[in-house]
Amino acid sequence: MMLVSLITAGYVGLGVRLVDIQVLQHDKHAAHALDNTRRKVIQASRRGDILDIRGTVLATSRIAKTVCADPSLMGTHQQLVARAIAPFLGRGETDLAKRMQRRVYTDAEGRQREDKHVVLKRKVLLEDWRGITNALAHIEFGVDVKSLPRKERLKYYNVRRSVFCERIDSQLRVYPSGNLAAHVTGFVGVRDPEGSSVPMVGLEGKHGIEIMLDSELEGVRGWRETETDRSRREVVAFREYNVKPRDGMNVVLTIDANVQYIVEKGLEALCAKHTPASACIVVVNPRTGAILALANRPTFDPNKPGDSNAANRRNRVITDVFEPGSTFKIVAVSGALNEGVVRLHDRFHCENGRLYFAGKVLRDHHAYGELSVREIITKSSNIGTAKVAMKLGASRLHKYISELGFGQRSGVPLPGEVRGILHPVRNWSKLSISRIPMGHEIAATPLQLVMAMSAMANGGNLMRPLLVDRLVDRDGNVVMQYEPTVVRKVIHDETAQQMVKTLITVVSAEGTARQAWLENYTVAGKTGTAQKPSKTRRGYEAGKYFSSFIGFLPAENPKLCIGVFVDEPHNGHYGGVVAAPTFKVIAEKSANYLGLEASMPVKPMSEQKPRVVLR
Amino acid sequence: MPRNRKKHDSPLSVGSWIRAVLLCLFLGGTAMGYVWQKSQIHQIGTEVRKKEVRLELLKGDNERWQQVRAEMRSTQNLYDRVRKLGLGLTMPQPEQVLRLSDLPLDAKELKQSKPGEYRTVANKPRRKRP
Repeated sequence: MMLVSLITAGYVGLGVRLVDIQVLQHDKHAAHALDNTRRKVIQASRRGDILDIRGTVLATSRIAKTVCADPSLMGTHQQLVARAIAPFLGRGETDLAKRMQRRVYTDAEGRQREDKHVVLKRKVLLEDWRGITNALAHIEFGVDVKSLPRKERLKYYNVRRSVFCERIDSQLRVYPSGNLAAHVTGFVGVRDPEGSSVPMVGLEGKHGIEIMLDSELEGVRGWRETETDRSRREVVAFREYNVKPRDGMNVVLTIDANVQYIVEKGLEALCAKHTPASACIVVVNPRTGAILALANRPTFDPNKPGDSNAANRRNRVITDVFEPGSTFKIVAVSGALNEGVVRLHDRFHCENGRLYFAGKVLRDHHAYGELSVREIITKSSNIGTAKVAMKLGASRLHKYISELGFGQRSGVPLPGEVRGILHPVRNWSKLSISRIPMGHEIAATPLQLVMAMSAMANGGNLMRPLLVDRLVDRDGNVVMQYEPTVVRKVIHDETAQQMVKTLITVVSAEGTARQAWLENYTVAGKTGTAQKPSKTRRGYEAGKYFSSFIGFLPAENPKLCIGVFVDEPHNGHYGGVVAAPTFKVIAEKSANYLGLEASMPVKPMSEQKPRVVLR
Repeated sequence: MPRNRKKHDSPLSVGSWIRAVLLCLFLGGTAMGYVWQKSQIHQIGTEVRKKEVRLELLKGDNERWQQVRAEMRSTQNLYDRVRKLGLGLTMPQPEQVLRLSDLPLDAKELKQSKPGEYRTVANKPRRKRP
């Protein structure tokens, strides 16, 4: 009877406990059980590629792993594990073994905890990770593990699984062409999940197109809710939600990698010869505003952006402003021609090189007498340009400067573009009307100057710089096509034609840019040599110049507009001496590469002297 | 006695026995089927997982080869190869470029071509639009 009572009481107790667990504490235990098996896995999307107009890859992504270790599972085999995996991680064995030593830390509640998650290396490529898993599977412990008792065997088994990778894949951004178009592509960095709107670690654009089109390149991440077994392997049958990631779009730029290469090489040669503080070159198709090449010196390698300083990473084509000097003369003269206040054959007396105006002397580099408007541009007379501008008037001059895009951002999709400096007419001094036309008292970016010259070349239309041609998905379907945009019509076609004819004379025997002359193409352009304003006092710095040449070809049907800008050159400082020869090299090679039709009649091969190619 | 028991009429008829057996077979079959189906689901799940891992590896390989191709096709690499192999390749000069203008067969007259320009006549007349 006693026994029956005890058994009954036991059963009642068990029943009560059962009800307690299954009913009263159901939610708690169910949540705990789910927590043990349920996993939510974030699937990162693949960042899109950046391509040039011909499909050359400028930036691409590769799946990478973050390799971690749990030292608590290693026992005393750190050195053995380090030896096996060190070749794949590119780190020293000793360093790795030291990093995998067991260590204890104090958590927020003051408890001592063992560190079970040590990051060994981020961005480990998939093939290296495969090598690591293979090496771990074949570690030799010097004992026959299979013959050991289960408990001992488990220890060795744990050593093999002590190195693992994080569940979320990371990506490695690769720029196969190195520093080619580095300032255009930009670079990426690791997103800080706390400071970002997206609470997960991943890549984030930090510069160039990478930052401007970050959301398009990044894509949409996916996620999966699933369950795992005791060995933490996924049980696919219990997979509930599986939202696949949508890869980022590929960005196709208007940049042509070959033209870019020609430009980079030209810039390198220029820097070797003139050792400037900085230099930059922009190549634009004046009809569409498409940027074919954009290069800066100093530069950086986007694969290792941390190795360079901020000055190297600055895209001077849009972030730096300069007093442009004589290249700016095209604005005053085209404005005056457009308004009909002067004609090309009108003559102005250039005061034999010295003009007293508003208490100051305005000088020319040669003592010119009477010059026509065309000759003023050909010979780059400051006094002649000032007189033309005075005829145009301050307000109309300001209007043309403004309409040609100075003092406002061009809208190129690159970060850090500045407006430049253009003071309102009310703030102009008496001297301004004589100084601004020759490119002083105003500051412009190299890109603004090239776009203004492109407007002269294409019939008077100011184009918006086009850097992105299209966005395409992973299957190559065009998602978005960017079309050339005319910002405004600034000067009439006839005026533009007159300007082209005038600018052709600059690149001739009597002009300032004879070194930019090409054998097979008619070139039009304008040189610029500006003294640099002093940073410490009023006036200009002696011996410091900003030299430039902006030209286009073929002049009768322009396909290329090239701007060469050199800051503080040595071994010469005139734009015609420093910048024009580089223009010539780039223009000749680019025109040949693009197959531009020659302007001049081409002699048959038989009539030509043999050409010796020097290497 | 046992003989007599054998001769006793069974309380269950043959039909009942058959039904019971069929029911047992059905239940057993269902259970077996259930287990088999679960096993299949698990097996397929494992295969799906393996294939996903394989797909991931292949994607990784694909990306690796894409990168290799991109590096090989990079302008810098091509120029370096040309220089290293001493191929003597240079950009074509304008005088080395022959421009072909393909004129339709029904063109009334062939215009004077520029020096260095070669004009051909198309083999087929241009099709008229319907």
